[in-house]
Order: sequence, then structure tokens, then C-alpha cells
Amino acid sequence: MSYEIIEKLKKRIEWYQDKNQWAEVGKVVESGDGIIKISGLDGALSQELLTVETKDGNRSAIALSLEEDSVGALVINDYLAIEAGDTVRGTSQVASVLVGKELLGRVIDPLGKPLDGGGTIFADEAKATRYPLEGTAPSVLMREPVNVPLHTGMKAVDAMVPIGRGQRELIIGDRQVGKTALALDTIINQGKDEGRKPVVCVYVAIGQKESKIAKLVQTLREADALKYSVIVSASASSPAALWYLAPFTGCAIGEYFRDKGEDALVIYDDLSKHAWAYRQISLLLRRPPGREAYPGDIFYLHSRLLERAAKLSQEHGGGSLTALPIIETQLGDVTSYIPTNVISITDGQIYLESNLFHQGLRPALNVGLSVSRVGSAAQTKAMKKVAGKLRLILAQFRELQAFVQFASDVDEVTKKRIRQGQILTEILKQNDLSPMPFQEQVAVLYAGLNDFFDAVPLEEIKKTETLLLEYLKKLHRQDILAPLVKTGELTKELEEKLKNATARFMESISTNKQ
Amino acid sequence: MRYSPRIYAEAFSLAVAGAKTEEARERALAGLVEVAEKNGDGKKLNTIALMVEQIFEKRFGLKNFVIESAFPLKGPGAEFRDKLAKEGGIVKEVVRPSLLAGIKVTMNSCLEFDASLKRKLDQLF
Repeated sequence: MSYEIIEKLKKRIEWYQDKNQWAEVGKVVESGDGIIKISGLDGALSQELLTVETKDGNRSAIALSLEEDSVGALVINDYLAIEAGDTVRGTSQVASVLVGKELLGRVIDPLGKPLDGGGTIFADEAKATRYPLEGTAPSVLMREPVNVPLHTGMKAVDAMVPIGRGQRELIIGDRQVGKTALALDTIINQGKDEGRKPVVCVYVAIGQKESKIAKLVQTLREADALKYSVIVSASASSPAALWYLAPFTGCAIGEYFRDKGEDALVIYDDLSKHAWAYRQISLLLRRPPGREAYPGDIFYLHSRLLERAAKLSQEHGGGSLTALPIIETQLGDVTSYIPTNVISITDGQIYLESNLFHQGLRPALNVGLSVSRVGSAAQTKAMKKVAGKLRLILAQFRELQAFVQFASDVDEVTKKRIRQGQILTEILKQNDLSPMPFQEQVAVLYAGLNDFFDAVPLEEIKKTETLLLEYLKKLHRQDILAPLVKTGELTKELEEKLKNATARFMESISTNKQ
Repeated sequence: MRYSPRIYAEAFSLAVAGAKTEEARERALAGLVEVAEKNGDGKKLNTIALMVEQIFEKRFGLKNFVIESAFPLKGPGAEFRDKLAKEGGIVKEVVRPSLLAGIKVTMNSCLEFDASLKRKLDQLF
């Protein structure tokens, strides 16, 4: 046995070469609140990973401030063990995270450590791929226009504010209006969206309560969505350094799948807290505060993160990374600093309003203020055909609604428009955790826009919609729904079949009532 | 705090550089401590001392060596230490058994030559 151990030892150390050379070191001069000031280390580079040798073992830090006679660094693990006088070494590397398919279904912290008690993620870390947290965004030549839809499963969004794979669409609104619910439905819907490449989902929780994250994980598990998702968690009790790094970790994971030619979705919930963390770090580094005490490069913080979402050209694998950043506003103020910054970066926004939420319109989408700059290029032909006029009809309805409050006698045309607007508003309401596949959305919106629900009382619209979908799934799955999934197009022939099927259904409903 | 540690360090370095006698240097040192305490910056004296050391290293070419070894230096180790001292460096010897064997030399707190057994074992395992 002793020979075996000796042989194992020899094999273990055969790569080792004894190289003694002068190395640059620094000394910790100040330490507190997760920030250390280092004297020496003149050759440190910006964003370089540093190793701090403490009496309790090594700690890692990222060099953020390179000053004339000191280096300010952000400690990314336990900073309480660091004391003044500890030695600091450079590593000539940047912060990175291990990525791979092994991450699917796991909950990790921004440094890649598992938090779900599911054991080690990578069997051999030396063989796993590392992606830098601060990766470079793809160049213009590496990209192609966004042209494949990313269906959220919410009728209001997919019809009027369509999102494409490779787009950045902001979800903005006050607290408790359904921002996270919308993001969650989008993740769940990726398991139901047929006819397209599956999407890997990365949910980045920044400063969220651990109870909320646990509930979210449970919800995804129950919806069978966790198997294609990764959760990156920097909870409310974690240091500002982890809040700061979390979105970059999520982005790096998404980039891994994008670069392999797959489609990925990353949700940053929420970037407002990310901005707070960066403000805290910058103030502790004594960087000069700007507007609302944020540092001068707060825009660059989010722009460089969101630019990494892209649709790559076929020559570069054809993969995509879609970003859904979330911003929380205060009292509906979308004109404040961070919201306006992120609105100007993203390719559109989904604005959720508290008033609408409390009126019962859920999702509480403000159609007037929401937009997708990619537009119908990210819609299937079927949805484009069916929902093309939806926005206009709802805009007219909103104007007429105000008019009707003051005038009781209206002409028939106006009455019809109001009635249609009310029906469509009812159709667009949707419970959370109930994403609808796009082919069913097309069928329902077709019925609503072509006056099939005219004779149905408003309070029975949802029930009728459910019955219509059941009917179509039972009797017309192969001849209507399946071709819609396969081609994404509502051809004349298919439209005729859908029209006849819907008419028969509505007739059977009215016969049953009589 | 009224002044940053760097300002204290710069002022002290200039005062010491201009002092011609040992007495004058002692007065400059006493003055630094007095002024720092008067301004409520007594707690920053350690940082000020570190900065004074850095200024002396950069401006006056001072070389400050710390030689750490597992056992008191003998033979070639002692000769190396004496050679550094002869070349005008300030040499401090520290016995650190945790190094196990070999030596570790730090110059001016910013360059390190670690030939200790501890470092080799850390790298291996």
C-alpha cells in the first residue's frame, strides 16, 4: 500500500516546477464594509482578481480603484477576516464563473457556489469552462436582426408588446404590480412553447428576500420549469459585493449558452437594487457622487451589462441572449434617474401600472406607455395578422371610455367599439402562473377581434374563452392548432377552419343556454 | 480629520530631508505626533508612518528588507543578510516557524521573493 501512495504522490506533483521569482505584493492598509485599501501593488490592473492572505485563509477581491498610491478593492467573500497588514497578491486574472449544462436546475450564488444543498455542481472543476463576469459584448458584425419570437405566454404582451430572442425588454413598475410574476410566467412558458428551439432561463435575484426566492424555486419546480433554469441568488442578507456581481454572473451563464448556438433568457430582478449596491460600493471607495449620489458611471454599469444580450449571426452559431431587466419605480415615476437610464438602453419597455392592477386588469399593462422597438419582426405571421389592429382598437376604446362617462346617448358605431373594447379587455386579463401557448392566444384573439364574443356577457367571457380552448384542443388539435404551431402562419385555409370551428362552438353555447 | 495622511507624510518627509542634525530630526518627529494629535488625527499615525516609509523608498531610494525564515539565519542566509545591509538597505530579520524551511524576502513591502517550503506546499496542494 505504501508503494501505491508514493506512486500517487509522484503523479500528483509531476506537473510542479520550482520557480522562485520576485512577485509584486501589497499590504492592506484599511479594511471595512467590504472594501479594502491596499498599499503597493503598483502593477494591479482594473478589475483584476486579487488574493488576500489572512490568518484564516485566502480571500478574493476585485481591484476597482487604481489611485496614485493605493488600490481600492472590493472583497467578494468574507471580509471580516481581513486585517490591516495582510498581504495581497495579484493573480493576472479577472473574476470568472464556472459555466456548463450542469448548472441547469441549480441555485447558486454570484461566485458559482451552490445554495440549494444539491451537492457539488462540477465533478472536475479543472475541466469545466470559465466565463469572465465582465465579458465583451458582441460586435456589430457578429449580430443579426432579431426575428424569432420569445413568447411570454401573456396575451397582452405577445400581441401588443412582442419580444424577440436577442432583444432587451425592460419590465418597469411600482412594487407589487406583477413584474416578477410576468418574468416567472415567461420562464414557465418556455417549456410550453413548441415549434422553436428551447430556451435556457437564468433568473438573477438581486437583494430579494430568501423566502421569496425559495417560493420562486418551488413554483418553478412545480411547473417543471426548473430543469431548464438557473437561479443566481444574491439575497438581501448578502454583502453589496454579491449584489453587484450577481447580474454579471447571470449574464456570463447566459453567454455560455448563447455562444454554443442555443437561445438563453436572463432576467435581472431587479436592477434598481443593483444600482443601489454600486452606489454603496462607489461611495465607500470615495468616488465623487453625482446625481442622487450615484457615481458618474452608473449608466455604463447597466449599458455594458445589457449590451451583451444579442442575436448572433449564423456564422457565429446563431444563438441568442434575451435580457428582461426589471426596474422598480417609486409612485409610478418613470422619469427618475435609473429608470430613464435603463429605458434609453433597452429595446422597449413593459410598463405595469398600479392603478390598472387595483382595477383588476392583470397583467396591469399600460398599453400606451409600453412599447417594443423590435415590434412585429418578433411576431409569428399568425399573431401579426390577428393582433395587428389590437393596439389601435384598445386606444380608441380608452378614448371612448372617457367620453361615455359624460354622454349617455351614443350612436351604434360607438356602442359597438365600446363593446368590442370591453370584450378585448376581458380577454387580455390573465391569471399569473397560467401562461398560454401562442397558438391558443391566436385562436382566442381571433375570436375576440372577429365579433364572436359579441353576444357573451362580460362576466362570462373568461369562462367562454376557457371552453373554446378546450373545444379546440379536443376536436381541432390536429387540423387547426398543430398547423399553427408548425408554420406559425394563419393561412386562408386555416383561417377558414378556425372561423367555422369558432362559429360552431358559439352556436352550441347559445343553443345550450336556450 | 483636517489633513489626509499623505499630507502629513509629505510634510514630515520634507522636514526630515531638510534637517541637518539628529536633534532637528527628533524635533520634526515630535512635531508630527503633536500636530496629528492636536488635529484629532492621532489614530491615523500608523497609516502616516506607512506613507512616510513609501515616500522615503520612492524619493530617497531607501531599501527596506524583511527576511523571514523558519530558523535563525546561518551560513549562506546570514551572508545574504549582511550583504544587503552593506549595500545600504535596512534589514529586518523575522523568525517564522510556519514557513517550515527556506526564506522569504520582502523589499519595500511591494516586492516579494518567496522561496519557503510552505509556499511550495501551498502551490502543490
